[in-house]
Order: sequence, then C-alpha cells, then structure tokens
Amino acid sequence: MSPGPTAPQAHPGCLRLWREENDQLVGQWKVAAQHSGQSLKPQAAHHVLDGLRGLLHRLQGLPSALSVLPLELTVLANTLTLGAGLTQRFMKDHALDIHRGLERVLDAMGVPLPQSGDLWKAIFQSPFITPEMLLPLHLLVGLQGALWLTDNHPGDLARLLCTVMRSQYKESGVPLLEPTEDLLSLLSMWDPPIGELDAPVILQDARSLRDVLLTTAAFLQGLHELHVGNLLLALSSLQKAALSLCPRPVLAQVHTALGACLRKMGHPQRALLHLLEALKAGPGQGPPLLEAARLYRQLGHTTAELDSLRLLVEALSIPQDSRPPLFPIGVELLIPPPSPASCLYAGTQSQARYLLASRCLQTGRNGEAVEQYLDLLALLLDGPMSQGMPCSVFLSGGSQVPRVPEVFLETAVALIIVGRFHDSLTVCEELLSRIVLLVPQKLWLGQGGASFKSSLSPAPPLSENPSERLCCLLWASAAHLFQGQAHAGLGARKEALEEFSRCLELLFRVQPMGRAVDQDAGGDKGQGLNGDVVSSNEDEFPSEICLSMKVLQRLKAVALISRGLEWVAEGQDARALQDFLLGVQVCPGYRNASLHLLHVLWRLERKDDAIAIYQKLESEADQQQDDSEGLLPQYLESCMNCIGITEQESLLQELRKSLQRPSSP
Amino acid sequence: MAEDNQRVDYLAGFCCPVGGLAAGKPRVLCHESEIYLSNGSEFVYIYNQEGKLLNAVYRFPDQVWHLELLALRRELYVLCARNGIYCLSLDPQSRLVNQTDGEDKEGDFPSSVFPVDSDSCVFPDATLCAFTVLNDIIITLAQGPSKWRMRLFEQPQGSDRDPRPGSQFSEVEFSTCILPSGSNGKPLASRFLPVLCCASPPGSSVFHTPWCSSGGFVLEETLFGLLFGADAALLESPMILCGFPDGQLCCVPLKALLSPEMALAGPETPVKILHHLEEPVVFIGALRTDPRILEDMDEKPLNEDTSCDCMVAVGHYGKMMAIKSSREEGGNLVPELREYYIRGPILCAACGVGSRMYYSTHSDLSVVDLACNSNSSDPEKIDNTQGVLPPVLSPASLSICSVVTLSVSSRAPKGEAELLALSAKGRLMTCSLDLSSEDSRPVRMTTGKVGQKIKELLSGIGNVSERVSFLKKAVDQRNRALTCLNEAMNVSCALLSNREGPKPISCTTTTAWSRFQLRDVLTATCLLENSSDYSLDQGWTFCIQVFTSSCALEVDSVGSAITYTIPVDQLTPGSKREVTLPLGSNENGKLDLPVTISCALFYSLKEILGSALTSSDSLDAPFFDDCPPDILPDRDGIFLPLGEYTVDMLQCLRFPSLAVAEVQVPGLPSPTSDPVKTFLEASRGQVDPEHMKNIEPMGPDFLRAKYLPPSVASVKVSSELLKNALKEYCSEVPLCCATLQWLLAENSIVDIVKTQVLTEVQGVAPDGNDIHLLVREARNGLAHLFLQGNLYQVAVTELCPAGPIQAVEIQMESPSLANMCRVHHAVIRRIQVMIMEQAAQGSNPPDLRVQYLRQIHANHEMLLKEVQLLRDRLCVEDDASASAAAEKLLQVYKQLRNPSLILL
Repeated sequence: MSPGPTAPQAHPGCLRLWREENDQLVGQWKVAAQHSGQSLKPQAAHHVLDGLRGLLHRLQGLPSALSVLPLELTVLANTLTLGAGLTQRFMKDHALDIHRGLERVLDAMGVPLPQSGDLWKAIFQSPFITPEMLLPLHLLVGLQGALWLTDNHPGDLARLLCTVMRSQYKESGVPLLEPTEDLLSLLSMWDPPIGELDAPVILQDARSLRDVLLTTAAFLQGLHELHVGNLLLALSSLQKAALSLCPRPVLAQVHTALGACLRKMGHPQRALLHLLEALKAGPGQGPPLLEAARLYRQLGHTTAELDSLRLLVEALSIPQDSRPPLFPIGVELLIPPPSPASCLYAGTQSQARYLLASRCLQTGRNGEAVEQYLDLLALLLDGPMSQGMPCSVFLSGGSQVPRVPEVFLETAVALIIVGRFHDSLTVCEELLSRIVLLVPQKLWLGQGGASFKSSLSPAPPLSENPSERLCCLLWASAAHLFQGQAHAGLGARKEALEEFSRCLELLFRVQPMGRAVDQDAGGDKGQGLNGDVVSSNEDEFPSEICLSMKVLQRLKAVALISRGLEWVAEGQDARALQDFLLGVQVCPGYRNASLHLLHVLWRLERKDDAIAIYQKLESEADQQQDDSEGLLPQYLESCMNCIGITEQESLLQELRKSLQRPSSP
Repeated sequence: MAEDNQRVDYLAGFCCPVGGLAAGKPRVLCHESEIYLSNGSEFVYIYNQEGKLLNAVYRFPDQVWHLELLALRRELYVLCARNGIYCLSLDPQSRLVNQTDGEDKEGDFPSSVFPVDSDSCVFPDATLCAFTVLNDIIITLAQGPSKWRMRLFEQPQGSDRDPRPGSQFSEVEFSTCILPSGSNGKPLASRFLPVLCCASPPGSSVFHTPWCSSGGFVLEETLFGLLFGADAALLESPMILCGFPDGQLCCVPLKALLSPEMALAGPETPVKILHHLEEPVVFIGALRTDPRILEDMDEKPLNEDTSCDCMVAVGHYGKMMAIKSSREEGGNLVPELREYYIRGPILCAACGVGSRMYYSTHSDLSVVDLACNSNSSDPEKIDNTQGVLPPVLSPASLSICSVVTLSVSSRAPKGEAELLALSAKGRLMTCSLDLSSEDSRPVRMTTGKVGQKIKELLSGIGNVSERVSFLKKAVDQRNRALTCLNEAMNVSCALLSNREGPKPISCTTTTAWSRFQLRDVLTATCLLENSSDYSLDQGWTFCIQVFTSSCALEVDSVGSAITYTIPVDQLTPGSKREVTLPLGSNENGKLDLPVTISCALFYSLKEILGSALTSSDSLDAPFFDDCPPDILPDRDGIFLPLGEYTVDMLQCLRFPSLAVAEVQVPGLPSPTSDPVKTFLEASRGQVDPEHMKNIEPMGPDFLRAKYLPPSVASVKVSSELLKNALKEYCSEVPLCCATLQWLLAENSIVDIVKTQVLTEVQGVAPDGNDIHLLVREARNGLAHLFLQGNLYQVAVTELCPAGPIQAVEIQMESPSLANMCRVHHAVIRRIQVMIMEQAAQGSNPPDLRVQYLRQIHANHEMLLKEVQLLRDRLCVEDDASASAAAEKLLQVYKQLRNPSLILL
C-alpha cells in the first residue's frame, strides 16, 4: 500500500486509513447494488453517500496537499457520482463541489486562481500534475461534462476537452490535429487514462462516463438541431445516438425524435417506422403516440389520429413509477426532461384528454367530445390524489394548454351541440359562480398606457393584471352566452333573451380609453361600435390584449346574432333586424352576421337593402377571410359553428336569381 | 382594557436554558385536552391539561423545530433539526409503558424519557427547515446553497404503512435570496425558519380533514380568487404559502405540484410572489373580519371550515401585511393590501377564530383587531366603505411578557378565546379572554365566583410583578450600559480625532535583556500612558499582540501571534501602566526575529452591552444562541490601535567585547541554552580559560564556523543619501561611524559606539553566534559593481555619467546563515524606512545610466526566477535531488545578497 512516491512522510498512516475507508465504502455500495432489490438501494446509497461525504469533509478540512489530492479527488468524484444518481440529476451544488475541488487542486500546486475563472485550464496547464492525479481529474472532467450537458452548455464541454487533450498530447509528444469544434468528435477522441490497480477504488470509471456523454451529446445535439430546424443535421446526430449504446427508454426517445424529424422532412412512412420502433423499445410510452397523432393529423387520417390520442390517454393514465435512482450515471440521468415545446413531451393525462376532446370537437365527433370533456372536468376537479392529480399543467401558466375556464366553456358548448342543455347550464353556472366576483364592473383599456405592462413593483396581487380581468370578463360573458343558447335549446326564450342581454351588458363594460371623447365629438353611435377604434390602437396593446379584443368583438357579434335569432323566433323581426345590424357593425368581417342580416331583410321584403348587403358580401368573399379566424378560442369557434345559418345556400341562390332578374333585362 | 376580562393560569414549567427560551423554534399545539409542546430543545412534551400531568416526553437527536399534529390519524409529525421529519404515533397502546410507571404525577417530569429512534424518521433530510402536513401530503421546504426547494411527498395511508419515505410527487425551487452564510459557515437561516402554510378555497373537500397545525386556513372565495387567480379558484386547488426569511411571500398551487411532471417543467414554475415584507416572515395567518361571518359563527359551532376574509403576514421587525377584498371606485373587486407597523421584534403570533390577531414581543403580548369598526350594522353600508381594513391598528396589551410561542386553543367556550402560551422562562400558561369584552357586564358574585376571582387577581398580581421587576432590571442595565458607552465614545474620539501631534493615550515599547531563572530572556516593556482627560474604566482591555514572523529558512513555518490582553481596571488621567513581556519563546525556546509588537486598546461591547441585551432580549435568542459571532461576537467592540513596534536583530545584538567595562553582560554562551549547560560552561571557564578554549567549542556551531566560510552580505548605500538622512549623527563623526550609530540606535550599545567612534563591531546574536558588522566608505570611485570579493574601497562607477557615486558599504558577516539573514533583513528594513522618509522630503537621485540599472534589474530578475524554480523543485522532489536543489538555492541567495544591492 504505497501512497505514491511523493507522499509526505507526515501522514502516510492517515492517508492509508482514508483510502481504506473510501475503498470500503465503495465496496459496500457495490455489494449492496448487486445483491439487493431495487427498493433497498436508496437506503444503502444514502448510507454510503453519508460515509463518503464525511470522508470528503475530513479531507477538505485539511489544507490541500499534492500527495493527498488523488485520493481527495477520487472521493469527490465518488460522492458526486453517487449523489447525482441518488437525486437523479445534477444540481448546482454539484457544480460548486467540483469548483471547490478544483480550487483546492490549484491551491495545493501554489498556482494563483486565474482571473478568468477558468480553473480547468489553469490546472491542465500546470506542470505539477502527477499521473496519480490525472485519473481522478479525468473523472471530474467527465462529471463536469455531464453537468454542462445537462445545463445545456455543450460549448463549455468542448472547450474543456480541447484543453484536456492539448495537455495530454503535449505530454505524449504527439501533435494534436486541428482543434475541432465538434463536440462529438472531441468526445470520441478523448481518452481518459485507465485506473491502475493500486489507485483508490472509483464508483464509475471515466471511460464509461465518456461513452455516456457521447450518447447524450449526440442525442441532445439532435434535439437541438430539430428544435432549431436544421433537420438534416438533426437526423444525422439522432442516428448517431440511435446507433450507440443506450438504454431502452432513451432508445424510445431517440426513435420518437427521429420520427418527428422525418415527419417534418416530409417522410411520413419512414417516420412511422421509427415511431413503431420507439413503441417497441418502451411500451406504455406517451411521446411516440402523441407524435403519431401529429403525423396522422398531418396526413389527414382523423380516425387514426383519434385512435392514437385515445391510446395516449390510456398510456398516460397508468401511473408511472417514479424513476428509480440510477447507478451509475447513465444517459437517462443526463437528458433533461423534455420541455413542453419538445416532441418528446407527452404531457399529462389531463392534457392528452383535453387534446382528444378538443380534436373530437373540432372534427365533429361531438358525442365523444362531450364524454371526454366531462371526464376531463371530473379529473381536474376531484381526481384521486394517488394518481398524481394531473392538473398541474392547467395551473402552471404554460402556453401549451388553455386556461381552466376555457375548458369549462368548451365543455358547455360541446354539451349544447349534442343537446344536453341542462348539463350545459350546470357547467356554466359552476364557472360563473367561481369567477363572477372577479369580473370587473368597468374596464378601461389603455388607461395610462402603462397599466398593461406587468409592473414589477413588489408583487402585484395576481388579479390586478388588466388582461386577466379582461379574460375573466370574456369568460363570464361567454358563459352567459352559452346559458342563453342552452335556454333557447330548451325553448325558454325569455330566459335565453335575458342571458344574451346579460352577456352583451358584460361585453359593453369594456371601454377603450379615449373612445368616450370620440363618441361625444363624432356623435356617430354606430361607428363607435365597430372595431376600428380598437384596431387603430392595436399597436399600443400587448398581443394578448389584441387577441382578447378580437374575441370580444366576435363574442359581441355572436351574442347579438343569438339574440336576433331569438327575436326572430318570437316574431319580432324589427328587433331582430336591429340586433343583426349591430352585429354586422360590431364585427364587419364576420360573414355569418351579414348572412343573418340578409336573411331577415329578405324576409321583411326589403329587397334593395338585401341586395346591397349581398353585393357587399360577394365582394368581400373574394378578399381574404379574417386572419384571426384560426386564433380564436375553441369554444368560440364551436359556438360560431352552431349559429350558422342553415338555409344559407337556398337563400343565396334566391338572391342571385333576383339579382340576375333586374340586371338581365 | 382587556385585562379586566382575562384570566391567566399557569399550567406547568418546563426547563429552559439560562438566557431563557429563544423564539422561533418552540411550538405549542393543542388538541382536545392534550397539549403538544416543544421548547426549542430536543424534547417534545405531551401534557394533559385536564389531569394537569405530563403524559410523555420524547427525546430527539437534535433541536426540535416544528410540530404538526394529524388529529384524525393520531400522529405527531416532528421536524428535528439536521435530521428530518419524524412521525410519532400517539396511540394509547404505544404509551402504555409510560403510564404504568408514571407515578410521580405531581412532578414536572415523568420518570422516564423516551428516546426516539431513527426508525420513526420518515423523511431523513438534514437540510429541511420547515414542513406542513395536508392530509396525506407532506410539504417540505429545504435549504439548498442558493435556493429553497419545496418537495411534496405522499405519506402512505392505512395499516400497512411502512416507515420509509413515501413517493415524492414533485419539487419546485424558489429563487429567493438566501442570506449569506454566517462567518462560522453555518447558514444564517437557522435564525429564522421559513413559514409554511396552506390556504384552501371553501369547500375543497378533497383536502379537508381536521388537521391541527399552525398553518392552514380556508379563505373566502372572493379573496381566494383575487389572490390566486381564476384557474386555482376553479380547480379548488389549495395554495401553499411560504414566508421566507428574506421577506418574500410566495404562493404555489398545490394541485400544480401534485403531478410528477412538475419537477420537470423548468421555466414555467407555478410560483408566484404575493408580496415582499422585506423582513423575515414569522407568521402567516387569516382572520374573519366581516361581522356577518362572525354572527354566523355565533349560531353554528366553531368550525375550522368557516372561511376567512382577510389574510395577514407578520414580519419579525413589526411590519405586518393584511389583504382583504374590497371594491374600488368603478365597482370592481380588488384586493386591498395594507401594511401596518407594530412594535417589534415580533416573537410569535397567532390568529383566533374571529378578527383578532395575537402577537408577542419581549415585553408584552398584544392583541389587534382587524375588523373595520364602522359602527353601523347596515351591511350595505359596510360594503360601500372605501377602506375595508382599519387605517391604523390599536394593539391592546394583555400584560404577559416574553411569550415565545402561542396557539389559540379551540376548546374555549363560546364568546371566549383561550390562548396557550409558552413564556421564555419555560412556563406554559393558558390565557382566557372574554371576547365580548367591550360591555363589561356587572356580575353578581357568588362565593364560588369570589374565590375564583381572588385566584385570578392573585395570579394577575404575580404576573404583573414579574413583569415589573423584569422591566426595571432591563432599564437599569440599559442605563448603565449607556453611561459606559458614552465614556468609551469620548476616549475613542480623543484617540481618533487629532491625528497631528502626540496621541493623548500612547504606548511606548522598549526592549532589554534580562535574566530569568538562569536564562537570558529578551523582554519588551510596553508603557501605556494616559495623558487624556478621560479615565479608562472597566471594559477597556490593553491588547498586546506579538507576531513572530515566519523564518524564511524554514519552508513550512507560518508566522504565529501571541496576544496578551490586560484588563485596564482604572487608568485615571495622567497615570501610566507598564507591562513587561518575555519575547519570542516559541516551543523550542528560540527567538524568531523579527518580532512585531502591536499595541491596542479594546473596548468590549459584549461585556458592557451583552448583559443589558441578553437580559431583555433573551427571547430573541436566535441572535445569541445560534450565531453569536454575527450579531455580537466576543471580539466585537471598539478597537483602537496605539502603535506598532518591531524588534529585529539589531536591537537584540549584544556586544560583550565592548561592554565589559560598563555593562555586565550575563553569561556569554547561548542565552537560551540549558541552564545546566550554562552552569557547567561557566564553572569550566572559571577553572581554566585556556582549557575551555580547547574543549568547549565542539558543537556544530563551532564546526560550521571552522569549516564553512562565514556568510557575508553587503549593502551599498549612496553616501549622499546617508548624509542627508543622518544629519544629526553626522555632525561630529565621519559618515561610517554615523551609519553604525544609526543602525544600533535602539541598542543599548549605542552609547559606547558613540564614544569610541567605531566603524566595526563584533556582536553576539541571541542564539550565541557571532555577528560582524562593518561600515566602509568609498573615498574615490574605483571598484566595479559586480566584482566579488573583499574590496575595501567601494564606489559605484559607470552607473552615473557624472562620475562615480560615493557609497557606503555595510557588510554583515556571521558563521550562521540564519543570523546573517536576520541582520541583513534588519538593516534593509531600516534603510527602507530611511529612503521612504527621504523620498517624502523630495531629495533627487543623481543622474543614472539607465541601461546599467536595467541590467542590474535583469540580473536580479533572473536570480529570482531561479529561486522560484528551485523552491518549486524543493516541494516536489525526493530527498537527494532536494538537497542538491537546496544547495543551489543557497548559492543563489548568496549571490543575491552579496554585494549587488545598491541604494542611491
């Protein structure tokens, strides 16, 4: 047991004891890892980790010395390896630990801390590195690389590897080829030294860490390129990752990403093959199913798409085991969890269910949509906690999912479409009871201009945000609108009219600032109702307010049309006409409003007016449809579809005929 | 005031440390008749209020920081510092053992204490700082190096519960600033723990179970929606509120944390900041201020579920925040936030069922009412009032001092509130308050009631007298401390203000050789002289710090310092105090020259203020117990440096050859050697001086002197420079003599040197080696600078275009390299000081040839580089090559020293 030629004679005994402690702890862990089941591992790991931490603490409590450093660095690497495996990821603490370790190395060498802060460079350029130190240092390089990869700093890793290899080749005398920027080739060139027999025992050697890093880097690079849009690069990187040694769950991810990449490149069949491959690699996986749904949607296979989504919901409803701690460090540990924007993100069960429900609604499978929406609401409101209450995404404020009230509104509109009016009323009432207090009495938009910028002054309470208030108002008015439609469906016209009026009352609470003056000066009440004042101010509003304003105008139009239809049913055509007229003014580009107006005018025998409207409509039809069409929330789209005029074609034909008659002679 | 309607009962006393209990960590909980109590120590007590006996005591491995009781499951969760969360089952069976031997019912402590073993530790985590339990979910808050981490765990239910940690749901990080760790490396956060609690919307039945914990309330729908948004309100998600030591008040929707993916979603964390109190949050609670709610409550039994319409958060220094929903001018509902300032520091607080909040400071327990006291009973009118929160708070005193933890008991009969309080002295008491106190109804006294009343009065008197004596003591101590501080300030001003001229309080240091126990010891005498108008009283300390510089020849040695602190009991104006210290006795009895003596006066704040502060603010003991160095460390105080004095070789040289006549220099041989040896040598010397010559010098010193050439160093100084600097010495004697006189000015030999006009002396170093000092003058420039060897005529030629520069060479020679180095160092130091003074006076150096200077410089650089290289090699190489390197190094040092240094 010789601790090395330069070991000071002062404490070879201690050094030996420390070494033995390290070896014993690692041995203990290896035995535990081999012989115990999955469940006991964390306990054993905790125990060993505590031991290693204690040992490291003792070593670092002493002034750093060159002779002790190889052991100290080994213990540090062991602690980090086990700690990262136990917490299942690398954390800032680990980076700090490495930094401290490096500082001690420099301290022992008597090298001042570099101004640039690049400790690695200073260490590898220092002439005092002994071969004993190289081994744990390379191990630390691997760990640092893992940290940087998970932190998304591959450039730092590439630079570090360059530094390491330069010093390595300088020693061996072989000149280094042109330093390449490519991380993957650097990683494959990196050749960590092999541990000698008498070196302190390590948990995971640098070579296996290198292989893990290589796979991870290829995969991450592929994902990055995929995200950026360099599909060819992404394809090659991902294929590299797929060919390297990687565990099955990761392989499934790689194949899913390949599928996404090929889908974007326009090779749906090859993409499907990869997705199939992914499903084979890891059964019960959400991402390939979601990707398949996307693919089928792109191909227009609605049935297959919905089938995939159904499977996805089922796959996600199986409670996933929390990841068992990974020992030693593997690729899974280094792959950051997919961001919601990534193709590898399958979302939660509730999210998938929402996707399924809304796709059903969009594709006209209303019966299933209703069932899915009701299931979703039940899941959100009182899903059993043991299943992990998967409503997180709806509360995290992410952009991937709609706000919770919108889910309620979509449910309500789906219920109306299938004729379950009472249920729809219940859903709307539930929604209204929760948000009615948050609906503003009066909302001035553009107040002072600055009120829309999220003020950073000490934490404004959440509902102070005016766009949030506008949202509340829109939701509440939409709920009233649906209640009105449900009543109309039930034949209760009085209640329906009441609800529509309430909806409109809410909508007219929003006043663009400065409009009041215009209105007094111009005196043109009709003009004031259309959206052009708002659109002229659009630049001042943030985009979410802009969209909200469009939704507001459209809601107004829909409510007016709905009310007009009720008046028509009552037989009060004059009132209906007024509402339709207002509807057209409020939302000029909205074809449906014009059609209803046309219909009433036609029925009232005001043919000239009708023809004028028709001609305007014809000329507008050539122009582009309102560009905001696709951006409107789902509940509004669906609602607009239900109030569509039924005998549209016959009416238009009749009009065309009557137009031709006066013009032909 | 409230005092008329309050009744205080002492229940039991618990042991407490000398300074009293610290606030922040003790907890008291009450469920039915059982009181669960931790007093910041490692014990948890269970006290039965009805039987007035202590049921059980559990001992934990470390301080207990938090308690939570799950009443339904009869489980007590305990956060043990640096260990984690323990779960104790409170089933009667498990305590059977205790009850059988708990015979001593009157005593404060049962006969046995149950140590809690690590098996019941359900969440081992050393960094945990706070937790709360919500049904099956345990929410923990742990401190990382830069962030707080909140984790959610599911606690498995049912009989087959295993004690291992349940599955972790998710984790979320809070990027609040963590206060920098204290100087002792311990994070400061242990002073203040974060506060965790849970706000539920009304009717979120999934989560509602009667848990009995310090945090957890139901918020009215409106306020909930306003504060946390429509989504959380719609999903009926309880919100976890966290108050951090940096003052942030954050909220996280619980339902957002319940899915495993939340740990993954990076940027879109659901954490929102509600407010920033800018001081450590000590309490978060909620109140029912609406009179209608209160009326409803009168009809129904008290219910945890009754929703609160006002949320409050209290900071340590007395900033308090209250949020309520109100209508703004347009009729919109908005949250109204109001900040109040109450007198801090707040030790603890609690909310009752109504609109009152109780809070405790060192001196008092107070109650504030947040109900808006509009006296109209008209509900509409209340709705229209602009401010729904009172503009100012009027705290009412309950006259109970230093309560460190509070909880509101739910057992109180209707119309009353009962507080459970633990005082800093470890006394557990209940305080019953009549809530309908405004109209004190005349009560007809029955005899029973009279007895009760008298008991109450007596108890009240006891309480008041305790408080009075406590306050009086505190005031006295503060006055005394203020007087002392005033004097200290006077002295400090006197010392620090007039920098010109002599300081009013001064310290002069002299050195001398004296003989103690047959050994010669170099002593330093420091004379502290108070010529100011103020006297130095108790609290002042005279600090003398002796720094032994590291010896340059020993690689690893580090300079050490010895500090002598001498209390200055009384030093009246004009008086002196003399302190004599032996110098430089390191463990092997050697004198490591040079030695620096630095004198200072120190006024300890801890000594004067500590008593005043600890007595009154002991409740704030997080300050003192946990990290005293941060707030009032032992060394904190006023530090007034008086001066520094360096003792070097030139002061310690002795000159037996010169001094025979005048000074009786004791025993010539090594003064620090063994007294026996000294004796033997002395006696031998008496017997036969001739013989002695032959026998005595056989030691290594002698051998070295014989076989090794003496080490030589020399310094050349421009004569011009010396002449200018040494005007007062030069008036009568030649420059060389003057230089020698100047060098030995602080040595007692200087008088002889003066009288004998010497240019050369032979001295003895403290370790007995000879030292030869020689000063030569160059009359006309001849010699070349880089010539080696003994040149008697030195001058620096070629350097200056105007001709040779007259120079004086100071040559030092000693058989011992170490001594030579020390003398060299001492000489250089003096010359350095002299040059600085000269430079300050603005003397001009002569014209120089720069390239020569450059060459000299380059030569030196090269040598320096070589030195560094060799030293590095010394560190890494084995013995054989190391010794070679060391030899080389010595050579280089020699080159450096002799004779290339020139000073112009």
